[in-house]
Amino acid sequence: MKYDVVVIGGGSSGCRAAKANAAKGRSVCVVSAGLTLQATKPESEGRVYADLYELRKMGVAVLRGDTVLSGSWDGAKLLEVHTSNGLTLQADEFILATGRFFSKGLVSTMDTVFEPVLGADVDFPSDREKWFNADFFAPQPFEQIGVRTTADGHIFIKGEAAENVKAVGKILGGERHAKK
Amino acid sequence: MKMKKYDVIIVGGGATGTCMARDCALRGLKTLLIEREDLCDGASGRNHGLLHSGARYAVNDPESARECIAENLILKQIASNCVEDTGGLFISLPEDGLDYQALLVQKCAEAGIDARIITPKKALSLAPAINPNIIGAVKVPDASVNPFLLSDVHALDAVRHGADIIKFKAVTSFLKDGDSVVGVKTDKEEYYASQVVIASGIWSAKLAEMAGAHIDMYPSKGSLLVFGHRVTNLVINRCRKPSNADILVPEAVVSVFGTTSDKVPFEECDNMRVTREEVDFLLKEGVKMLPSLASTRIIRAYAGVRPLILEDSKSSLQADGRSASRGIVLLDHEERDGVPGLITITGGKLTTARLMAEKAADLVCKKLGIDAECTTAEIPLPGSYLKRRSFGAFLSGLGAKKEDTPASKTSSGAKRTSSGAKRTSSGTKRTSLGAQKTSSGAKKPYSAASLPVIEVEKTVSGEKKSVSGAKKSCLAVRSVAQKLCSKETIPYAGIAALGRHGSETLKMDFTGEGAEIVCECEQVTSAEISYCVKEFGVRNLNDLRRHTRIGMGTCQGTHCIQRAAELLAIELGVPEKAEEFMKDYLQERWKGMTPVMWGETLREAEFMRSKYSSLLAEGEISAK
Amino acid sequence: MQKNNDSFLNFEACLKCSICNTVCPMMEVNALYPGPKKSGPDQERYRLKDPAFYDYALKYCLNCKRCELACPSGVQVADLIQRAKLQYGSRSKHPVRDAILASTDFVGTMASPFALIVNSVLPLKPVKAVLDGAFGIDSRRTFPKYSSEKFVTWFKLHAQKEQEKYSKFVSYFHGCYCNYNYPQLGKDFVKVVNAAGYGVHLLEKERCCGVALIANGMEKQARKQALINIESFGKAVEKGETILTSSSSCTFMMRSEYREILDLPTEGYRDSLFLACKWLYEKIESGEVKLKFKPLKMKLAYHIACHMQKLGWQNHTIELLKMIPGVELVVLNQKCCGIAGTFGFKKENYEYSQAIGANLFADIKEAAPDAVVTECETCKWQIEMGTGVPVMNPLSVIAAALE
Repeated sequence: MKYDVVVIGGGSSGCRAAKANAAKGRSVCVVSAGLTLQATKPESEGRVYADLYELRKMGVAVLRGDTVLSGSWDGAKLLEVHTSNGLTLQADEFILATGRFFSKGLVSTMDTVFEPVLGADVDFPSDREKWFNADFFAPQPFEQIGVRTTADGHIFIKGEAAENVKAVGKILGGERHAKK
Repeated sequence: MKMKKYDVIIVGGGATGTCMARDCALRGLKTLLIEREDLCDGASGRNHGLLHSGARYAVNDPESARECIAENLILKQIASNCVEDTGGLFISLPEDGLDYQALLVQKCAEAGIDARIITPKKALSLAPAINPNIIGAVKVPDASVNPFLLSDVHALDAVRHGADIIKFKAVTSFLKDGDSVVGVKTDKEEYYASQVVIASGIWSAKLAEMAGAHIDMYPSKGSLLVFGHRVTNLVINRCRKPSNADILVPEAVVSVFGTTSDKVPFEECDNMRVTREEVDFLLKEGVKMLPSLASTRIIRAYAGVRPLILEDSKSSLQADGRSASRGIVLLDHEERDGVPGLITITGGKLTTARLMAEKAADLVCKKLGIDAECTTAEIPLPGSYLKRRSFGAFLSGLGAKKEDTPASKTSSGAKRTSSGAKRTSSGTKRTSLGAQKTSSGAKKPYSAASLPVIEVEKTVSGEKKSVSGAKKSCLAVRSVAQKLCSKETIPYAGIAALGRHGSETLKMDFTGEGAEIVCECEQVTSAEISYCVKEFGVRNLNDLRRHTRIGMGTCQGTHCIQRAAELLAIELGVPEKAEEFMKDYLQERWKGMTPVMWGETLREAEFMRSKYSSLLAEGEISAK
Repeated sequence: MQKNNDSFLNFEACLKCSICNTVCPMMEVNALYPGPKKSGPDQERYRLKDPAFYDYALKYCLNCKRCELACPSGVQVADLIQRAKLQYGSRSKHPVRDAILASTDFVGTMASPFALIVNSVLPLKPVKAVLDGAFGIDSRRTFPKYSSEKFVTWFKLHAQKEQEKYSKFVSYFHGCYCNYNYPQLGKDFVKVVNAAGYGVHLLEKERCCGVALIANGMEKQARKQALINIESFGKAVEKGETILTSSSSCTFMMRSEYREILDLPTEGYRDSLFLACKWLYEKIESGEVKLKFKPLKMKLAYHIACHMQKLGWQNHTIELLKMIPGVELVVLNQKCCGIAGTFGFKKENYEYSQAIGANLFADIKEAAPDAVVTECETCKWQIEMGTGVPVMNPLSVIAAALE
């Protein structure tokens, strides 16, 4: 299946990117692992399907309960992605909006952090004791961990900037918490 | 309410202190137990939760081994709700050889420990997660014990027999009359006693110093990892000379692996942190015994400090502290330091707490010139209920006189008593540690035969499933048993509480909101929380955790902290403190998560922060 | 070490975020049901310790898989529940009824020759009262009709020979509904596949996929039937034939549940077993197949069945339907219809089943379509009963639109 833009990840950043592209008249497909979209914010349960219905109205194809397992590249250009339900999605542009650790946009082991979908380069402190702050209420270094990007948001694969893949949202690192 | 003059004051509310309080109270002594935090704040709340069969010590320390097996069997009888009789294995990995196994079995036999060699195949069928390459296995009667509940029920029983327990108060100095200790002082009160007993674990040294006596103690830190589920249903030991990182204990619904032993400075004892090296080391060693630990979620790491004594007459000290004396150390400071009225009981292990208390209480009675024998081994503790006993043991418990209750058939030579022990108190009015009084009358010691059989109701279609009584093959037996015993029913919502509090669960009110589950990981209901708040004085969620396991599951409180904090604040009559409770407990749980913060636990951490983000007052952090 | 956390069906990855609970249709209507989070990963830790912790309220789980779809941690919540149900049993009050409802091959084979009688007797009030009282099959529930001629019979008599004029083939897993209740679906399938230039072969041996057997605790029988199907699939794959299906639940059962619940090997055929619409759309998209449609002036509402959502192929069907000129297509918001196969027939479940479907019925009535389109036959029964709107399989729509 072919689209202008495939957005990988149906959280708030992914939905925002999808809507922006659909508004420009481009054909968009959103692949979301979760059923509800906006999975990281359980407090917004009341709006659980709001994004989904809005996207549908705009003609965006939404694949829910599906995950992107890998991609096929031609040099620095991503041609298509393969999903766990057996679909192959081709697009001119891809947007990686898979979030951070909670949504498995980034995966951590005892000594590394990696990006599991496309293998994008990730910046992280090598000493895992530096991933956290002992004070629960202080800013946590792990919330700053994210994929490395160019100035305009393209991800890197093994040091090479990807031509047509940008990252948005939590996967970039950086966390904002509302003031009390 | 509190008498100021006691026969004995016990300083320290860990396993030893609470056992002592019970022992003394049962002997009719006017007893006060004073604890600076909540019960089991020290090593008693930070150990492996292992009820040793003694096999681990059989080779190096036969005296300890004998003590262990005796206490093991006693506690299984009298504290059946605190102990899960899992059984244990000593497994031999290829690099361990089988020489130690042969020695172990021989020495166990000599010590009266039922250790049987089984084939590796049989061992794997009992515990499929162990290393498939083991070359040998020995089955032993190890068990898993909940140390918090053990202390709780001892404390409950102590109070129900007239003892006073004061928590959250530190002893600031000792009251002296010349060289003699005559009492203790807290910040506001003074308490007098003929004998003061220090049972404060590693802090005993400091306390003794305050009283003018000196003990050489040695803080030995032990770190442990908590894995997210029961990887095995048996205790797994490594069959070799006792060393670090060689025991896995299934507890409640987690597995605890440990441990280490490193000397640490005294200052660190109040603020233990597990290091990265310790985590890496424990995991590496654990994987040798149970390969699946390599991919099992680690939910928490914690550390405790062992009170080891450097005694002149005991074995020499090795760098790792493992050969420093772990035996029971009872110090008569009158004889030793010229400080009459003061005794210290320390060393030992969780398994032998009751015995330690017995020895100390014997000495106290001797000093007081009182002739009262120890009955703690014979009398079941509150909460004990009929649980998977063999038919034979049950029958013998039924028609037998009190002297012949099964509990007394131990090999430790525990003294048998007649039911008319001279100084047993009667007519106690208080039955709880908390402020409330109940109106129950005198409580006589009760025999095993009068323990309730408890059934659990099912929520759907009224199917009932009995969680006590004999096995299915003895259906006829069970119905006879049930006819002779009092039969009680608790609703399904109370099933986890039953596993913790035993027959005390019958006191919980599961109607209406009582059945609401607050902590989902550990199935803690609102009813259980209410009961614990009433029975045990609690100040905050960390205290509540000790009695209920709230927040000790995989999510480490992420899910339940808010609701639990609200409930607790309401129960304690301080609703405005809910947020403070929540914040404190979040910080406390965080401390145990940080040493293992990767994989699923890092995801949990991120979720925890996101969920409680409204509490995070640090303002905005700029996104990249 | 610790490169991934491995636990049975990933139960340990549960972070207690509770998102699964928010999407569970049963939790919304039934206070007795503990919800997916508790029934699955929470209680799994307890069941490992002691079987006494098993909660019989798990019988209310519909196995709709929405909890799994919603889970950000990848916990196989519904699988944990189904496996626990199989392991610990259901203590159903009507084991005979359950066995009859679940044994579709047996009942279908018995009923088919007497279809005329069965179809006129079953709806009779006194008969329904007996079924209700003695067997616990709710009397308000309508039954699907049985066909006097099984699909397989029709195929062998009227279609099989003709298939041999094709040079490339697919194998057809027809399923129980098509075979015993509505062979027209199979006829539509053959028409569509033939129009795409492929011949149809039946599988060497076919048994009911077993989804109802599993749901009713009859694991041994399900396994027996599954092994026969797996062997047939193997033979089809050897011949180079893709295996196509027309029912979403059968497909899901055979591709996934065979492995996750029954521990059977699916690698040999899983990548060759698809719903017909997925296969057809991909063939058209690649250019290999060109279909000519005549206009079909209908307002259609497409219902994504729960298992279809789990398979993730709904867009293929949607795109196919969009190709038909004249069709006004509305995609319904995905909601569970509540029948969950045999679940909704049982008296003790009937009210919950209807309560769950009520939202979907309301959406359908609001859309006011000429027909609802869905791949699931049990959804069809529930929706027809709940709304009165006729329900068609997408293959039947496509067949009707072929020139």
